[in-house]
Amino acid sequence: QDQHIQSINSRLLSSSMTMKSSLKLIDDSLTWCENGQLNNYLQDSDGFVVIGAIGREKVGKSTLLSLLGGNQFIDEDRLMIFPAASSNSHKITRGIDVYITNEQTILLDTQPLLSSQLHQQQILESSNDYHRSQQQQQQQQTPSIPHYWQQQTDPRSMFIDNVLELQTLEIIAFILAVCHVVLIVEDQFADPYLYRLLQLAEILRPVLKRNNTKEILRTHSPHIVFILNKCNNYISPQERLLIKRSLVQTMMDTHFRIYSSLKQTNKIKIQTNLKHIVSDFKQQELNENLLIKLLQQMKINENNNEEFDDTYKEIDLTNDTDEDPDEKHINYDHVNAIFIPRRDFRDSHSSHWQSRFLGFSNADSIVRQLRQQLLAIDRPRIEQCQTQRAWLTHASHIWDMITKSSQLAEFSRLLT
Amino acid sequence: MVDNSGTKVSQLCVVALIGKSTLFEQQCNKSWKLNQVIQTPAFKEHSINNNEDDFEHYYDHINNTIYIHLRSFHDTYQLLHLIDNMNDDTSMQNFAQLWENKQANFIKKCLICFLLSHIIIISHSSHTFDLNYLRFFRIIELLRHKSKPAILDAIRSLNLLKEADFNLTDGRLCVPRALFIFENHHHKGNDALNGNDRDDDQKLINMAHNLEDTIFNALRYSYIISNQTNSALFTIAHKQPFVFIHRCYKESSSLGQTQKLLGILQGFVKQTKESSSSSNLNRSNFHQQDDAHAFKRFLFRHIEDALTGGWSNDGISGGARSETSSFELCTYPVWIRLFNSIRELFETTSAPTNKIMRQAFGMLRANVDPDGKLSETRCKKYLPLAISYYEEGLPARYTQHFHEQRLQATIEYFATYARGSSYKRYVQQLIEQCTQLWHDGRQLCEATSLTGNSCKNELHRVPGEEDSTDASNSAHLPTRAHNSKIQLMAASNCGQILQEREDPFDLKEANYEFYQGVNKMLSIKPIYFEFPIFRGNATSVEVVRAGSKQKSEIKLSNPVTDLSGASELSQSKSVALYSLVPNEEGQALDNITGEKTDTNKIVTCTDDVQPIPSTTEYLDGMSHSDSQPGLLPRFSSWSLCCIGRASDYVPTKGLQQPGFLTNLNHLIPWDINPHNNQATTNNAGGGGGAQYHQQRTTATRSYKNNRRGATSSSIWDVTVRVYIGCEYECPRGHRFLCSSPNHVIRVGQNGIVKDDGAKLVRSDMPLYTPCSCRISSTGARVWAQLMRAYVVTPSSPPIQCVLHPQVVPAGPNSPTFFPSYTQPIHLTDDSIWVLRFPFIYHDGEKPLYRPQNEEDISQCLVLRDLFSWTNKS
Repeated sequence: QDQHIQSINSRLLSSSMTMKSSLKLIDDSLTWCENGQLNNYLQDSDGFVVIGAIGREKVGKSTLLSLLGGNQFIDEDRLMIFPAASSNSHKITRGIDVYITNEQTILLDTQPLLSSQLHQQQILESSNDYHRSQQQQQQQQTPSIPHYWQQQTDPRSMFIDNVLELQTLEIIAFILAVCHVVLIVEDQFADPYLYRLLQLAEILRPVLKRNNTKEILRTHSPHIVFILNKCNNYISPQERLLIKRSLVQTMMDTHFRIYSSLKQTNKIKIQTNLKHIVSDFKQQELNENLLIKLLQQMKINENNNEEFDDTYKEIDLTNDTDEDPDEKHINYDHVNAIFIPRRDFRDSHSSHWQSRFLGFSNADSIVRQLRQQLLAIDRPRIEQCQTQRAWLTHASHIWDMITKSSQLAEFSRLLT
Repeated sequence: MVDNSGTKVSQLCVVALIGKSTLFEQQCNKSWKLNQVIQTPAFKEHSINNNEDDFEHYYDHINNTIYIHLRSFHDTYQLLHLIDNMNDDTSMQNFAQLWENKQANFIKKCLICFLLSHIIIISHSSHTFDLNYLRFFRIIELLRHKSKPAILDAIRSLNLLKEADFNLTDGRLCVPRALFIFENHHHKGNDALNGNDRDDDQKLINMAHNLEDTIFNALRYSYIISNQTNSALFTIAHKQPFVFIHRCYKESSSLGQTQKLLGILQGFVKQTKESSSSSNLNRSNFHQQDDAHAFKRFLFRHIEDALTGGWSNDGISGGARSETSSFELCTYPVWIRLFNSIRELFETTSAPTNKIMRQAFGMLRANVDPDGKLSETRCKKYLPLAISYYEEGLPARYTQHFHEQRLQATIEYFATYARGSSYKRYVQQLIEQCTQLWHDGRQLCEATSLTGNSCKNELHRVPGEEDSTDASNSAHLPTRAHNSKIQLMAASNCGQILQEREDPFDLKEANYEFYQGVNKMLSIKPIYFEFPIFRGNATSVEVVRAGSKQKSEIKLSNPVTDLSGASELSQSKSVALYSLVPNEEGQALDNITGEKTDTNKIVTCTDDVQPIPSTTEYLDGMSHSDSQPGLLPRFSSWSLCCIGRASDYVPTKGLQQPGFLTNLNHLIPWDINPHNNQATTNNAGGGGGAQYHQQRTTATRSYKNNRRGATSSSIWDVTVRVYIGCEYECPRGHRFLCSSPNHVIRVGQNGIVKDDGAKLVRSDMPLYTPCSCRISSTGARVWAQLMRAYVVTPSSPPIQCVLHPQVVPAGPNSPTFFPSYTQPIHLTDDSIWVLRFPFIYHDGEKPLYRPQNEEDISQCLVLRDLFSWTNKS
């Protein structure tokens, strides 16, 4: 009978239990956390989606993931799923945090890539290392199992920034292998080093084989969504196009899915009558004629429409830009790039009225749309991950392979 | 030239700006930071079309300073431009290549800055220190050491050392000071509230302190700065701040032209609405000026240091220094000369003649791009593995298809292990090597036989085709005939003997030569009806492919009339030729028993029939409904022969020929009532005039009355019995006769056939029918092909038997095939006639062999009216 009650309990729990905050998947020293607690939240069902975010420090990974997990912008820091690193504190995400939402979304928040703050912390740690290692010897503590590349080369003889880079690569390789969707969060465009890290991590990804057979599993290729977070300025359509095109060009040789994962989110609210004028804006040259034209148009509007504030209509501006037949069938519009403005963008620069003209939806609605689309995204099959529990096993296996990767060791020797 | 004679040329401090700028600085690069200091737009701020990374410099007379701005791919607009033009530029095809190239370039340019300036400003576009610089610094330092001798040489060659107080022993002006400048976007939102300004300032100061600590530690722990100040790449100011945070970047222009315009519009349209944008703008302008002043103060303190004797007490332990390092200011002309010569030294990328520089560049390349190197080593390591993967268990010879499949698998294998930028190059190599392996003695000839099997010989030349155009390529190849290693069994034209045959690759071999060869083995040769063939001068003829449908050629002015003429003639002639008059019987028998020479025995009608429309053109292949009418093939794919007299056929024994399956060798009796109207429907394709004209009744009248005959005994009930049969032959030489589509004949125990020929006559017989044998290994069906039709004509009947073969060998869309004698063939009486069908049907372009699909197979037909009769006129 106890068993019966237990099973009822577990059923009830599995269906209704909500995680209060994130848990560690991989800890500070980059060791896999055998987290029994996490198992309570995992279900034996399929139809889940794994979303991971990577990016440099303070670009808003944690905040974005929290929002995707159901938080609101207005929520207090302590209510956030992934507490954000604020500029004042030295709080920083280390390792990988995991959160499972009620919608069966598994969110993975990672430590920042090549973070100088982390660098600083590691410097401090390494200077304490000597004492600690002596202590450890005395106490016969088993230190966490070093990664293969750490066994090959003494990390203390390596430059700490290189150590950090290797850790970063481990994390990216892991995220690429276990996520359906990988969000690349940037707050500035462009960071070629980020793209290079992505490509490098792809090279270093472990080769999977099916259950001890020789059969090589096809490398899983996740959706890659580039997120330009905290955009300060109005980004013109041709700038968007330029960004998207360069993303495509840089990622040309990779296997990532960087097209058409999302439906168009960049709907721009703008007045219908102004459409052709706005497309003239794309001509970059702003001359007097245009000004006159715009003024005339405005006059007409004023006369015709008493309440023209209410006549806003959604126009997809970006669609006009690439009718170019020479584009090798790549519709750059469909590149997965999302532009999220700063939340306070309007307040700081212009009135509400003005910003509506500028074609920014507000950050909340963009994040909301992104969330909907990510939940509905088609999920590239990750081998051997039919259920959430299987996914966890798989993920731990992947991490194990990454930490034992001889390729990383090979790479560590090449670093200057 | 340096002019020292007159006024004292001022000694200058050199400030270099390197670093990053983002896209969102309104399309301008980081140089605005310098412009702000100089207060002149000396540097081009906006995006440039120039593809190359480059220096810009500006000589500030008032402050005795030279500013250098290094534009590199770290400036996002430059990067985007490069990426955009990546495919146009032949030298850089992908991102990895571009990356390596530009990284190396950047390091070189940076080193020039570090050599020839006193202050290096490292600009960050964010508020965090970019760790990538640590590696850059290390590589720059490496490069500096490697190239030092060459740099010293270059400086020496300028003869600057004559000026007593100019000493560049270290190859550089001084150990430069590095300054780090950042931009703060984080607190910008708050500055709308004036009360917070002080807080903000304090925050910025704290941030700057934090950053200074971070940078100092980072540099120290990667041994970029150390106690050995003299040998370091640069120093960090000991007492002064070396970090500056721009409060905000170009705020006024960051709004962008669009927004400015809209601001104006807003004022214009909605004047009543309180606008905050102007005040915003004012405030930001105010901030900007404030910011510029602060930056200027920050920078000028360092410049001042430089101009007043340099820094000697920088370093970790603050003043604990070994010896005096050289610290040289220089004049503008000297600097320019130095600058140009060193630039030249580093920018001759193509083939540095200088050995030292070559080594230095080699080192640079190795260090700058570890990913490329990783990719390279991995590819190198896995290439031989992939090749042995390909070779594993490889058969001695294999087809292209097999090769391609294997190669695909190999590439997949290679791709899982070897990745990165070198992959493309190596995979190409892999493909080449594997293909070479295949070509070297493992390539099958793969010529496809007419039955769809491929030649199993290694790549070879075919006898008779040695002189083909690509003879030079294949000269080394052995010459031999194609061979699919498949043996078939087939009977001769007449069916008298079975003979092994090889899978044919040539139409003439398939349909003519083989049968001719077998025919020679016969001791008793049958009498042949010779189908018309082309007899023109083969050397001067023009080949017309049977498939070509240019029916409107001028040469064939009137094909229809030609044919009609031919038919008339052929009818009359054939009757005349084959009617055996009683007193000629002896001779006819002689002919049939074949005691004379071949040539005499051949019954021919070509001499007198068929006014051949063309003697210069022939049909390359077989005649069929789509072939050009009026043309004759050079050989006949069909044969028709007479193998004996009607009495030689014993109905109860059936055909006494080898290969027949038990009891399936009986021809089917077909009783013809010459007076029956029905006959006209039966022989609609045959003779037009079925007349109720009774000829002699003879012994050939049926002994056994059929049902009609039993009911009445009138003269109209006289039937003529003809024996007919459709013989199928399977590739193993099994032969059997069918009575209706896909049904073998039924024979009673006494050897009496239970089927009625009428059904056979009325049916479209399938060209292929399954044989009773099966392939033992797979259990697959063996298909037999309709190869022969037999007709035993009675002696002196009132009718004449007619054969009219028409074959649709590959479904309704394929052409209908018939012998070159296009009309129904009237057979002579009292003989056993054997029509042998072509083994291969070929429409001039491709062989129409048995389809794979069973449904399609059932579409291959020998049309009805193969057997018919006509009344003798």
